[in-house]
Amino acid sequence: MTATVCTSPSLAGKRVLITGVSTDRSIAYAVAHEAQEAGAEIVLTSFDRMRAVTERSARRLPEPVDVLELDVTDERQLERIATELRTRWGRLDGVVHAIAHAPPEAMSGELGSTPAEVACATFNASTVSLARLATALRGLLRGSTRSSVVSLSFESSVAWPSYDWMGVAKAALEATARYLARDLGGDGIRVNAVSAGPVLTVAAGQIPAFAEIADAYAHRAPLGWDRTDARPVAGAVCFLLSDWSRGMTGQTLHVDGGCRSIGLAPEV
Amino acid sequence: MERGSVSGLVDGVIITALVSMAAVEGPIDLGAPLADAEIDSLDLVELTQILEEECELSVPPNAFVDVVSAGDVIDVVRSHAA
Repeated sequence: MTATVCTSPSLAGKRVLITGVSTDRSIAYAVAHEAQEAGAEIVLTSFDRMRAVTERSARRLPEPVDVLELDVTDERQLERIATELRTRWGRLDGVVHAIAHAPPEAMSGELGSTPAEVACATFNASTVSLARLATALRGLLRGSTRSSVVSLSFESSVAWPSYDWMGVAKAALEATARYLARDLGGDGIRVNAVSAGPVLTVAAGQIPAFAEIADAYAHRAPLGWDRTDARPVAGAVCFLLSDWSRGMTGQTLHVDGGCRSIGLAPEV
Repeated sequence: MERGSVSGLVDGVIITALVSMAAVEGPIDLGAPLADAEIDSLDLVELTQILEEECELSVPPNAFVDVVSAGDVIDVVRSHAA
């Protein structure tokens, strides 16, 4: 008898849309890389001036990949990308939502001083976009035998220094995933989130207390936490895109070296 | 570092990139705010990619958070190249 060795979830034959790739340090880039290595066919999205950055990163992936224009706050662009993907693939097996944006005033360190319109802009770009993206692509996802939507979050059960409205948006993002899981489950579409430990991406570099938070994770997590390595997060995203997680929806997987499970940091 | 004596491959790559990103034509004033040329943080993200591609030089994503001028950019890059 020949033993079967399982090394990683297969994404062979899966067609996956990945948003949010910026530089090759971004979590979405790591997901794109892992997904291609696992056999997925992918396309990336980007928009406006970020597109030049995304296209440079795309050229570093193992396989050539197209970058499509998509501003998830623009309903017409959502309709257009659904049409484009229908023409290209006819169905969609996976979507990775790796989109968040907060103006600097939304992370000032004093939640109540943020203008309402700034808080709403943060919420719209970082949270509502998941619902709009999943809804726009629902028809294509329904065409897959098993389809999966995965969003990226950050530990939202506690308040962090300076994270402010982005923290609120992340808590709502995880709730949004649960409600979408409820609404889309009947079509066989799963919706989950991955709550990642702090990764030093371009976006994270804009968070004033990032280094302080990342230091705390490195000290407290039983497995340790490398803020420069997005691959453990990407692995969990690929698991949720794969059929290995076919019984899971509405969940938030924590990929943080075990940090949130530990009450006190170990003595040094 | 003497900001007025820009030389070497890395400095040349930086200046060439910034000139191409600037909204106004002409040479880059090393002491002037990047904002005067409408160069912003997203341009500097792309600059980190260009430095990796052309100079095999890795600059962390938050390295340019406090830079104001092109001279500051060169200082930061040189500090990571050292």
